[in-house]
Amino acid sequence: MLKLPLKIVNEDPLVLQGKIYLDYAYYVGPIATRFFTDLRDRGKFFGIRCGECGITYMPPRGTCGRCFGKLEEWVEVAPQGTVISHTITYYPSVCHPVKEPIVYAIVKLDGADTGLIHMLGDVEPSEAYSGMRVEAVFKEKREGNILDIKYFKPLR
Amino acid sequence: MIERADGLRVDDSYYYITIPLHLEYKWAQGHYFETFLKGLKQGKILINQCPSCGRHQIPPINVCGRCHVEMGEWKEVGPRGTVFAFNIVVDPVYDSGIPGMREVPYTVAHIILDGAPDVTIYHELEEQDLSKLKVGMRVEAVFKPEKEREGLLSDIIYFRTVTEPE
Amino acid sequence: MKERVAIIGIGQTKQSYLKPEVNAEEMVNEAVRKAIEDARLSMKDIDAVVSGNIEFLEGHYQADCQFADGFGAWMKPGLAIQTGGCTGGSLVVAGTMLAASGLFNKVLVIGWQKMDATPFTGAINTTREPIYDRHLNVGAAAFLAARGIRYMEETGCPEEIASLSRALVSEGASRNPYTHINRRLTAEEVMKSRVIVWPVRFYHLAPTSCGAAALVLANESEAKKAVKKPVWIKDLVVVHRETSVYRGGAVEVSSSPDAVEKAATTLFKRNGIVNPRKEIDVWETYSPSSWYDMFDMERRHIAEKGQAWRLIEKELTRFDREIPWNPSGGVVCSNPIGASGMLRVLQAALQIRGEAGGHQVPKEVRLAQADAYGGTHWSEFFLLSKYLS
Repeated sequence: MLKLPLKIVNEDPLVLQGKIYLDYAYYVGPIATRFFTDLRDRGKFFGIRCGECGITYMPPRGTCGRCFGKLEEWVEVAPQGTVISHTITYYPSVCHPVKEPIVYAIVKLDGADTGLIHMLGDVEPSEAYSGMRVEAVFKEKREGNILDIKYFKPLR
Repeated sequence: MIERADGLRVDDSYYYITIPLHLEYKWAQGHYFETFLKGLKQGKILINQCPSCGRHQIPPINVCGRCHVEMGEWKEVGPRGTVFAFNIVVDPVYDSGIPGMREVPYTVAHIILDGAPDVTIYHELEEQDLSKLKVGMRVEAVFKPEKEREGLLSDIIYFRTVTEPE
Repeated sequence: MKERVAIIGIGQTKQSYLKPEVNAEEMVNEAVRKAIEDARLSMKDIDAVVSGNIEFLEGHYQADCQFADGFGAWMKPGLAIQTGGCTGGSLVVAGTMLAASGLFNKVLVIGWQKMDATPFTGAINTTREPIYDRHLNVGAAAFLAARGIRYMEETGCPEEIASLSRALVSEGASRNPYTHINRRLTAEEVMKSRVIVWPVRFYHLAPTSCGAAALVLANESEAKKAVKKPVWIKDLVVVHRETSVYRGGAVEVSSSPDAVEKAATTLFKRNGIVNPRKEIDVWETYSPSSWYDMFDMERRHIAEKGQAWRLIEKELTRFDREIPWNPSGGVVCSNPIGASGMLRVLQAALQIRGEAGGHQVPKEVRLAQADAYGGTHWSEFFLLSKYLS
């Protein structure tokens, strides 16, 4: 017997509603495994350096896009850094990790050459600015993902 | 190794993150599909025919892919037909729309409806016994009671086997 | 084509059911490095990068944008392609066109899929029309089964033939260290595997696999400078048919033209091939189930309609016999979808080079036919040649 998991949401013109629910298992690979375990277990940030190009990647990756070199040189970078760019999100969405308004920012940690995308906290959205000095605030119970960093707060 | 309810096997000795992608979509059906579905609600299988080459389309769309002319001619076909191909699904599969595992077994078939010999309708058969299924067997659409029909393909419950005099 | 195009670099990863030890970018990177190294080039020599996969199977959209580093695509022109099951074929078509256009001398083409991320049928069914047949469907297996039943009804082919065909390709697969299911199987073992959708059994079906493939394509002047002997893409044909599965397409009643057959016929006619069975030295085809082997041999004019099963019955289709049919094991032994179509071309090229290894066919391979096709009804056919003319 045919059963269809569909709902008629409009009669004229006819519109049907249906779901696609899929739960993906994403294996993060050796580089990200090390990054996330250091973040979770030690509360430390490790980037990876390309000696050839003189660039420290944060978050780390296995290949330097510039010279196509294999990257293996792990470098600890500071939990403090500088806001390169930021924006404020006001609209509500089920996708957002926290309640709006959210200050999203790209933060370049001291010792890294590339920016990490995250959120700012302990700051009025209107007071955030590019060039602002910030520091990572960790979650109490860390699980080994990017939200182990609660947010970056202003350095005073 | 974890065997998940949806059938995916996950090697949990490696670092992985579960990413839920749960989305709801709204699909506009358009005039031709809508006419087909509203026909089902009235207990009729309505399809269209190309005015140029005479080809039928199930389900109907607005254009004939061969002639690139607008399809206009509506025609009621069936409810009887002949099984062109069939198969029985016995392996449980995850259906992302339920979301959950689809009940097995069930028989799906391509059926040539009386009045449209060049195309098939894709649906289920009532018969689930492999030894009783044959290519060429005669079947008939069983509609839901009128009050329960919604204007979906499931208004046809399945096709049941019919015996006809030779 | 303005310029003749050849394959000058080949790379692939081992294909397997799971690849938990790497993420997608890292997996692809392995194949890319191998292809560049095989061509004795550096990434600086590559002028454009084309990549593709079916994005719904990993749940990561536009992965090509974020993975530019590992793909070697950083600051290079390129594009991403998704045409379902035949993505791998479309990638080679696009790469060939870019090199043939005269705009790019050397093009890197990457096909990949990491199918350990999601319940496959749940994800692949999203390619089906949402309200008409998605919830009737069971992925590819039901359509393959329908075809199998039709074939038996029409030709008198016994059910065991598909299992024998699977056993025959396992002979090559067991000698191919890269393929996913490299177990050597007897027809009896295949017949004993569980039924998925009757008459399709577990071993008749393409598995879900993880893996990546990479090719370096070059135009004529660059190819002639290559360290290894270039494998020429002599010709290619792409055919698309409007009828999708949901309009009864998989087993359409009318005697409408079949896209795969049209592609094969055009390819052979255009290249003066009158007897494909005799003139083609190796076949690497997209046949997604052993139940499609007979049908696919007939569509490629290896046998008359309804007669191909007799070639299998005589075991002529083994990799070391008269008709080397998927000597690598083919799609039924390994199916990282976005890479699968490319792996056909890649394997055919290895045969022409004489570098296939254990499953190298025991004769000189001058002409090989490789192809990809899929539920999206694109068919891409390639004729690979050892010699330029």
